[in-house]
Amino acid sequence: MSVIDKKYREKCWLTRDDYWKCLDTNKEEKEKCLQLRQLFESSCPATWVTHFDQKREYDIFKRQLALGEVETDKLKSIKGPSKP
Amino acid sequence: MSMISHLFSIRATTCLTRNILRPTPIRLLSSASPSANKATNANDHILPKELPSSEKRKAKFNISWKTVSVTFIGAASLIAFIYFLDQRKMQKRKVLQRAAVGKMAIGGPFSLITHERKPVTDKDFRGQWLLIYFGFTHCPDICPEELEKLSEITDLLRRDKSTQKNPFQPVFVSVDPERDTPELVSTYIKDYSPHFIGLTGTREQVAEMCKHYRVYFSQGPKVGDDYIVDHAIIMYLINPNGEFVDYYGRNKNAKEVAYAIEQHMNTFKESNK
Repeated sequence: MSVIDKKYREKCWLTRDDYWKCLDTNKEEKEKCLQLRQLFESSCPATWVTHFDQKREYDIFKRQLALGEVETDKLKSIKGPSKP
Repeated sequence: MSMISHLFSIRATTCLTRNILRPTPIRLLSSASPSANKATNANDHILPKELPSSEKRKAKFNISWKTVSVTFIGAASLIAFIYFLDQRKMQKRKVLQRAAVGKMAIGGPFSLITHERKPVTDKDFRGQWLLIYFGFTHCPDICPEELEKLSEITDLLRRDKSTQKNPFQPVFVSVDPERDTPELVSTYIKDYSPHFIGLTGTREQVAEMCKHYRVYFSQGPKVGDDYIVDHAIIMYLINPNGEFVDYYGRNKNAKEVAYAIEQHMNTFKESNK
């Protein structure tokens, strides 16, 4: 099994979407989505997991920025891309 | 006293008389000699006769064949000069056009291997419209999304296949030559469309093509044996003459891209009739 296999890719994306849906439902409380997190990490390559985590963080930031919910002091506290 | 005054008056009268009489002799002479009168009359007759005749001759000369021929030659010379300037101007334009074409900013030659292990160059694709996407098989999400879009574009354009003379060919180029062998690329592209051609090659070959097409790509940090290649997300449209025509980013959907390409195809078709 590898990313070259379409079914593998689709499973990875599915577990990612399920995990993100859980986070949306529980207002980003990771403690309530641990089981889905483990499934997500086991279904995707490590580099993809890192990539998707960064992507989600960026998407949330973009959404907040568009809604004007980001304060100037928050901008400083936002973490940069995690170093692998 | 009276005798002296009388003498003085006589002398004065004599002087006055002489002064008055001087112009008179000329008149008398002219009236007296008829030959002089005849000479004068002859002169008067000659001048009026000559002037009108000479003027008439000059008028005829101005409208004569010499004038017409000179005017004609002048006009012909002017026309020739204008034509010469026009030709030179067109020549300069052609030279500039050639220079512009020769110095194309995006696009250029490449030498790679297809997913069927067949060596190809840019010349092998002459006569075809190419839509080229640069990605890699281990791409997490963007490449699959873009390749799905490319597949949809292909389907849209192949529907109107009969109206276009030159066929449309989607191309996937791997920017990860270390991992993407022809076999992997072959398996990968078949998930999206049977019409795709996948290209790969040595690192140098891929780098050269990416340089010509101004494609940014960079291998990211490794996690074990795995890594992600960061790269520009752009599709390039190449016309049947091998010239770069247009590019499409992530913000365009399949229908928008297909419509834009159809416009380019029609323009190319019209200009090559």
